[in-house]
Parts: sequence; structure tokens; C-alpha cells
Amino acid sequence: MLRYTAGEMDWFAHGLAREGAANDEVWDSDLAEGDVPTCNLGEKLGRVQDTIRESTAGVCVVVNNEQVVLGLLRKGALDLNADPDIHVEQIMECGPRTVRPYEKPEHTIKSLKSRDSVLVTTSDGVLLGLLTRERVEDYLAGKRATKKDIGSGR
Amino acid sequence: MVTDIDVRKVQALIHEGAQLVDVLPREEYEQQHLPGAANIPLRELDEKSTAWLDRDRAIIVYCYDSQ
Repeated sequence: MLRYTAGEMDWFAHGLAREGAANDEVWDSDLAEGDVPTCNLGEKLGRVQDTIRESTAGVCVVVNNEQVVLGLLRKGALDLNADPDIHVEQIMECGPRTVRPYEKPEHTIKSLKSRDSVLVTTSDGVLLGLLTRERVEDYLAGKRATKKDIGSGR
Repeated sequence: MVTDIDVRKVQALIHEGAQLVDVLPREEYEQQHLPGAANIPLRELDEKSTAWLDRDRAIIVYCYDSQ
């Protein structure tokens, strides 16, 4: 017999599918945008400046080869006219705030009072998506009333 | 004998036809569980309640977390 020691919360922390009544609940992973701009630690600002400027959410996530989050570049916190030869490692925000996929937007909104967005990652730190305050507020305001509506809007 | 496995191994074994058994209480199982998992609450786990499991396929048991 085999024992999945870490249990179902580990499974959900990896953003994997679920069954049961909770399947009708909306979790942070359901609201997160999966297509998030990323770059590597050794890249230079010059290569990512346009990416950040054009990003809807104004961010670029610094990840390693396994997509583990190392840092964050935010448009509002950067001087995008700085020396393009600066490595992102020198200017990134280290250890950005993250939430797990199974957390609820009703709780996460508190973390978003002082920031525009938060990263959704697995318990191993692998990037799953970007959750914006706007999307959470829209959901809580009832504009996207059910998980079915969220699914159709993506 | 019980062998501990991680999420990647669970996924690989599911792909190969493993059987999942959620040992949480029924109410918790109904709230959420892994896709395809059957429920045999820990208190009910015995030879009779597990007789239907296919011994020729991997059987993976899990709970809420590691605690």
C-alpha cells in the first residue's frame, strides 16, 4: 500500500483538480491569470523593459528553470529608463508575497489592500499565475457570481 | 508494508490506474477530495471495507495533510 504523506492539501497546493462540493467554490487559482511574463535571474533590464511596459498587470516574474519564483519586477517600482545592462537580480523585489491556489479571494483581498497583485504559487514556490486586486474586487462585487461565469470569461 | 510517496509519484501512478482512497470523515470527503478518490473513513478501514479494492493495482491512501 502507498501513502500520499502530504495529503490532499498538498495536492491542492499544486493547483491540481478537485472534486466535491468545494469544486463549486471559487479559489484564488480560479481567478488568477496563468499567462504571466517571466524572465531569468541573469537577464538584463534592457531585455525585459518592453515586456514590463506592455504587461497588462505591469509585472514580470523572475523565475528559475523550474519556474520557481525568485523575485518580481513591477513597473511602478522600477526606473525603466535605468541602465539596460543592469541584471534583473540587482533590481528585483526579492521574496514577493505569494498565496496558495486553494486560498479564498474573500481572505486574499486583505493582502491586496496595499498592492495591485499577488502571485499564486505551489507550496514549492512554482509559479501558477498572477492574481490582481481588480479581478478579486470584481468577483467579490458579484460581477462574476459563480465559478461557471469565471470559467466562461477566461 | 506502507511506502510514502509524493505528489509527482501520485500523479504518475494515477496515470497508470492506481486507486485512490480518502480516509477522511465522509463530510470532509464530500466537501473536497482528489478526482476519482473513493472514501473509506479511517474508523471504517478494515478487511471488509477494503475487500472491493483491486489488489493488482496500486492503492494510494491519503488524509488531509501530514499531521
